Amino acid sequence: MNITIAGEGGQGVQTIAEILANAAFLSNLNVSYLPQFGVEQRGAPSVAFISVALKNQSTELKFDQSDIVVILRDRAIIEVKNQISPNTMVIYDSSTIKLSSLPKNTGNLIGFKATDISVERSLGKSYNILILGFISRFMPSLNRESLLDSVNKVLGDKINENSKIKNLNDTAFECGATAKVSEKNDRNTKYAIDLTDIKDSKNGKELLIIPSECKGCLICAYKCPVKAITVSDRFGYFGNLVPKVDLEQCTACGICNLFCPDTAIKITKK
Amino acid sequence: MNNSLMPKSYKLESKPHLFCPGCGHAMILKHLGFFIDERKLVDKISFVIDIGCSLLAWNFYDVSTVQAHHGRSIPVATGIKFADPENPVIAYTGDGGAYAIGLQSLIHAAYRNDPITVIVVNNTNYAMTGGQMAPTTIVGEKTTTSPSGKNIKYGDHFLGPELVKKTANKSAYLTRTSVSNPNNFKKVFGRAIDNNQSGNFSMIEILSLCPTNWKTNAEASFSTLTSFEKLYPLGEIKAER
Repeated sequence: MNITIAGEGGQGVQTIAEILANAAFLSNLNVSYLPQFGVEQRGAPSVAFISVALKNQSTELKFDQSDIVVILRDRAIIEVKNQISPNTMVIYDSSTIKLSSLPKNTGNLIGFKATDISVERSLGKSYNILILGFISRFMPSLNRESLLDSVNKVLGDKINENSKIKNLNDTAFECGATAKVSEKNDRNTKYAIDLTDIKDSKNGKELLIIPSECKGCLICAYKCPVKAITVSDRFGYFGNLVPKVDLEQCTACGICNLFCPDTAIKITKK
Repeated sequence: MNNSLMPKSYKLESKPHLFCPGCGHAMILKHLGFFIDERKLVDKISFVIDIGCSLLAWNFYDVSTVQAHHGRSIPVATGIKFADPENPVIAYTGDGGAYAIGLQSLIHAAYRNDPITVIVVNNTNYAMTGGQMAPTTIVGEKTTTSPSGKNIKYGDHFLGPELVKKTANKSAYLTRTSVSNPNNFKKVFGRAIDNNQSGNFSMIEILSLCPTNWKTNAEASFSTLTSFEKLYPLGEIKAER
């Protein structure tokens, strides 16, 4: 069975893969795991390729078609599109990814509201273990005990530093193992990011912020001489928070626009 | 995608660009893009990038771009200039490509007075490979290969233009500027390109930010840069030969 997992750098994709690979090994299967990384810090998706086979069969280190593809962020879809065929099961976080973003030729689309559940149950960084719990339902060859042992093994150092993590992981795994599959016609993607331009007008000044370009470095906020720029609660392209501007304070000096590395902010005097 | 704030010379297919949040390269390249627009150089200029974070400028502009081997952006730029002497050529490299692996090429381009502009983006570390110590790392600066701070026995901090001035023709233009003052870029880019037009070598070192490897937020990035400006003097450096 070939599995591809793709998400944003920092979502824990490689950790899920390492745990699955360990669990397969403990379940007396052959497994190979190939991480694909390099530019996550610069905003590229993180992808993991796992191939599991019975003891007397061989795995494929790099494969062209996946039996299961797991997608945790819509930006990662482009990395795995070629792996998807009508025979592929696509598991995705339906609280952030719109159904319309997914490739049309998919056999089996299985969404679940991972971010919703994670926020509701305060799972925080155990989001990836929640995903793992859900994926495990579709990999019956991995026994539950070997999965839970693998979680503790791979995250051993972190658990030793903070024992609360073990409980959080256990809760996250259970939530994933029992989570409801989203209804196909449920269009509610509560945590999908709205990347439309932010425009505002006040006191003869016009504001433009472009979340689809902004990486949230907040240099604009630091450089603003009148402290008119602060962080907002809106997300940008890389899942970072974009700035907001108090147009009453703002003097349209142009400094934010001068420094912005992403050509994502400008205030003009009308 | 909203390109209303971007230079016209930007290639839209590569936006949002691949530089880290808060990267100095992105700031520099934006101002260079507006310079290319203003001087109408989009069909004239050749842009040679190196290995390292500068390679993320691949497909950045709608201009002729070549990506060279590590440290070889400068001789490739020279080659292009010989093939097409009428048009400006920029070699865009990091401090690793210019002062470490490519130092030989830089010194000889200056020695031959090759009429190209070399832009050296200096963030005091080998950034693309994960933030290792470079010749430009400051004493005491923590990097992945100087985890308790750079030891002075490895050199205090490499002053590139100050070395190049010994081999560069008197008519070469050598300068150091910083991303703390982007308003200065148009002037130095203009002077460098004009100096190439009169047949001489130009080099601009730009002190830059690396929030990812410095592990700094916006404020800390700029205060770190300010401390580096005390050690890397800004302004023109007179060529001596």
